[in-house]
Amino acid sequence: MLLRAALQSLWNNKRRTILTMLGIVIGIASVIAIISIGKGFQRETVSSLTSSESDKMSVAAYFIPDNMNQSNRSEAFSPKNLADIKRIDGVDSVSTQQSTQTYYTVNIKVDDAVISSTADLLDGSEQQKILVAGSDIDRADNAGKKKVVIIRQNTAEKMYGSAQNAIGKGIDVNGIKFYIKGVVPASSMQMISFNMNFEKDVLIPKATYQQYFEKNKKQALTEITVFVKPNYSVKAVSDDLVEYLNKNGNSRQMGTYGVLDMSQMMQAIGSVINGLTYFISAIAGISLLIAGVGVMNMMYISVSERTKEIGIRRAMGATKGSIQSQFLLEGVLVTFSGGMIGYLFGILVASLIAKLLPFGIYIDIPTTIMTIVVSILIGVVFSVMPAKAAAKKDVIDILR
Amino acid sequence: MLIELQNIDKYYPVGREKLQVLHGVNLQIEQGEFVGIMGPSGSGKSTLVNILGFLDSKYEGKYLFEGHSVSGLSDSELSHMRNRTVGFVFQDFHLIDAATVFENVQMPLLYAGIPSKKTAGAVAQALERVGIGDKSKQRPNQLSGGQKQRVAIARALINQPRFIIADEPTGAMDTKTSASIMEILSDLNKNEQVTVVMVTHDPTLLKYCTHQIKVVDGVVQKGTLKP
Ligand SMILES: Nc1ncnc2c1ncn2[C@@H]1O[C@H](COP(=O)(O)OP(=O)(O)O)[C@@H](O)[C@H]1O
Ligand SMILES: [Mg+2]
Repeated sequence: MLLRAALQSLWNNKRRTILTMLGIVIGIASVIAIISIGKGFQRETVSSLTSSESDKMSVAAYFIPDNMNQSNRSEAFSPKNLADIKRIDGVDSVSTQQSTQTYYTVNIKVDDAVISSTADLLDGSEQQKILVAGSDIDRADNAGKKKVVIIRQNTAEKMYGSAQNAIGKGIDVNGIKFYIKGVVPASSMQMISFNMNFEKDVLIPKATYQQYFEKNKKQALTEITVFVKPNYSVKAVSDDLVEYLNKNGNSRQMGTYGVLDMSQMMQAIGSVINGLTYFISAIAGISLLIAGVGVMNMMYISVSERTKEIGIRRAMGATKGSIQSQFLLEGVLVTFSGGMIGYLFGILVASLIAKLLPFGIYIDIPTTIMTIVVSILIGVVFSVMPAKAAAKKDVIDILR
Repeated sequence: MLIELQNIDKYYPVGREKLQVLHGVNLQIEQGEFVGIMGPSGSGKSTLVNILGFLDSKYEGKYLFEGHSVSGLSDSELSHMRNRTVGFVFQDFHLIDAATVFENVQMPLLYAGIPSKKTAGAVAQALERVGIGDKSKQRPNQLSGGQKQRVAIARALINQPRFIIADEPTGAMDTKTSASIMEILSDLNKNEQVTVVMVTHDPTLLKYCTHQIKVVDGVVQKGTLKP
């Protein structure tokens, strides 16, 4: 009955009701839009941190030499270092996998021009290549550290007229004379889908390359990936890691160790977004407050316009409590329905905005519950005083 | 004894002063009486019936209703009393314009805690009783003064009250309409033993009454009228 009386009064003052509702709608809509975008970003952050390599968080440790020329002289991460790192509290595993984007380059002399070329190092175990002339590099070439090379057809033709002519001839690689063992088709400048590396200009036996161009230098390990056990703080583990490496790292005299904590970076961005979310939410909160004052104003007007009705209801047996409930319900109905409309509107706005963002929006149940609670609460808080005023009115004074 | 007032004094605060409107009122009303209250304007008639109808509890003296004092009752107890034991008919009707005739008449039932679904029969019967059974969907402002007062009477009857208070119910009506309203009240009193307390200016209406009360400057005298 109270509900019907409240609905009726709201319906009789449609325009006022809608205008008052508008404030709540805008306030709730902006809060919902901001929160759903903010949560969407948070989820994106977490999923990008945990997407690859199971669900573990990882941190990359790297070594920066003081003097760039000295680089790669020794291993930055010795086997002992790696074993020790594995024993750091919270470390799950260590990956020494080098990035696949490692390029080897050599300078080859074509006629009189020195051309910097990418090189692929082979040990003879690879898949057979399609050759235009000559033969592939085999295990024997690698084992014997033979100075043989496979070049591209276009290079061969430039130097010796044809691919056939080039076989067995010499070519200057980094100032050392190599023999052309085979010729592969001209570079198509395509990606090889197999490992996504660009086709290389020259192919050289791995052992030969190491023998002549790297001398004693082993392939340097300059970066490792450390996986952190669940429930361990990535930050704490990285701190331990840096401390250990700068005390015991193999190359500590020649440079410094550092970590690239992706999660930390994402957290930093996340906290900026979070801060922004709270800031805009605060502004939206103020707009809700103003909307609430609008509700209060509307309710006071409603109470004073309906003084006679209050008197009649009281004469017919309405208690102060039921008069108060009626007006309270009226206010809550305005804010609740405004809140629900705002909620839907906010999601709509957010999903429109999300079309321009690299991630989707996200609305969770706590946010939905919060919306309902907040919109009801605004109704209660800002209608309580007008409703009390309505209930307090003196029946005799009204009906006189 | 339905109603008994003992030494009622009533003051209204006027600025810093107190204006005494009722002076030591003693009054007894029995079940089934039709009491007409006469007196000059401003003499305190409305003040008196407001006290009788539990609308006003700020008085000095004793009010016994069916032998029980109502002077110390709380606001919500008095609301309950108004709902269950008294029906009001006012000079300017006091209907809610935003609600339909049906909803106006139904209202006391709802405050009595009866579910809305179960009220239709009683409301229709009450409207029928006062001769406007066909007006239930209309709004009060679509009705004439006489029809409005019928709605008010139907509303006053709906909870089967112990008595009806009518404060100048025909004050704003022509003689014919006034007579039809008086017929309804008189009929209720005669055939259904509803106690009626009616304030009026019109001495010709005293023919409907069984008893007369004269209020002059807040002093009350009751007398019996010969039919
Ligand atoms: N709420 C009130 N506050 C102050 N004075 C009032 C109030 N109600 C009535 N009065 C005064 O009390 C006197 C009696 O009023 P009322 O009972 O309405 O008289 P009646 O109904 O006989 O015309 C009048 O002088 C009136 O001005
Ligand atoms: Mg009066």
